[in-house]
Amino acid sequence: MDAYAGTCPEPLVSPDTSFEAEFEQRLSDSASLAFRVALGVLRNREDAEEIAQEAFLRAYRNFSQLREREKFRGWLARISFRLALDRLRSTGRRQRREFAVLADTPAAQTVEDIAAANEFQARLERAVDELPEKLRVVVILAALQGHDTREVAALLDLPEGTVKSRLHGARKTLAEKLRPESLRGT
Amino acid sequence: MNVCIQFEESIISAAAGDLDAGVQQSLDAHLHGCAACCARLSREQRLFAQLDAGLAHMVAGEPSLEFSSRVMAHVTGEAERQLLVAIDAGMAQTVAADPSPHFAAAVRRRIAAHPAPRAWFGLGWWGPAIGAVAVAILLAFFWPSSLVPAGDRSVTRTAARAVEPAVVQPPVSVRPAAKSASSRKRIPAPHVEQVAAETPEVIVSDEERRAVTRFYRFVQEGRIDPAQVLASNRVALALLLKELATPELGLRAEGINTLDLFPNPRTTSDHK
Repeated sequence: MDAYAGTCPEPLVSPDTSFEAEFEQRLSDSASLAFRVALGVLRNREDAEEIAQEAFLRAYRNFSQLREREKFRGWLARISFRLALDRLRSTGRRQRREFAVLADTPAAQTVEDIAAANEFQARLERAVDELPEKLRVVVILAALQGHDTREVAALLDLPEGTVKSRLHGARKTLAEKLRPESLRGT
Repeated sequence: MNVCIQFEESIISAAAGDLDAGVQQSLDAHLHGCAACCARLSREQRLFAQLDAGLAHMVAGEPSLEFSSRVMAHVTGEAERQLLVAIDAGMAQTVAADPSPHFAAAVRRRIAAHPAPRAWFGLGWWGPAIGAVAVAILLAFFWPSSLVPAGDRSVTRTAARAVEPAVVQPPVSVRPAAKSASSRKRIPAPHVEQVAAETPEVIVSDEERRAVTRFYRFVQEGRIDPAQVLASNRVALALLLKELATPELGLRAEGINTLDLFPNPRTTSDHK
């Protein structure tokens, strides 16, 4: 294998076990992140897992080119988001999207309440889909990170002020679309 | 009850959690005295809470238990694919080199600088020709005569020129062979022994036969001094004579070293 080291166009990956071991560690650390970012776009578990796998594969192919290994999570999240958007546009799988049913509805709520909650969720997801990409990725990552704008800024490699501005603008846009007519102007 | 229009935007911002501290103070002061705005703020806060919950629910979930193993299976396959691609690229790069534009000219120069080696001590075709001529001359002078002491033999240039044409002709029949005299030693031993047992003929090639004939013609015309030619290659001549030292040819090896090459012509009665 070493005989080809000087002539190969890119560094060999196998049989460097330390490289694969590092990647496997990062896989276990970032699997949920990649999956949930894809899920936030696709809203289909099977598709999200498929996209997350593809994101990891692409990350693996270019892993040696990543100079700052601590930025792997944000890099992976952006890859997963981009792939999910591409899948959404190319296949148009809206009909397969699973409407998230609010599981934390109180037991005392009526069927109408549950239906209303589901309807709200569906409207929310449609509103998120209509957001520009820059705002959509911020909203999804903020939802993942519990609105920790510093963490989102690190993942997106953006200034925190930029992330705050985009997040607040996105939430207001969503609220505008979801606000009941009865609440407008009152 | 309608909200105060000048505070509506502040109320929404406050509910979203991004109101500036200074504006927050003035809104708080207003809320103390405006129930409508307080109610509006409460509803906006519930809306944003519901929105945040919905967003969190959108991204809630964990990958399957087989996710990591499936990713690593793809990674392993990818590693193997990269390895094969790298090997193919390396091999292609190795064999992709072309010789320089001057390669052909350099080859031609080297061929021209190192011509094919000439056989027979660098004499080229002269070597086998001289050897064949020497054999022919010896046969012409000695056949069917036997050897006599060297002191009785002498030859002069005049005597060489006076050789009868009939004597000059090779007295033995020759059978053209495919190989020249210079390659006679390359004839397989069984073939040579078989020939020697079957016939006393001297095997020479067409080239040698023509050279001998031409040599004799030049000697007759006085254009070649055979003594000078043979003297320049006595070693080779001696080797040839030793090869021909067979009883059939009437030559004995012990006499070869003292052989006077141009004796007086002898008659057949002198042959032993």
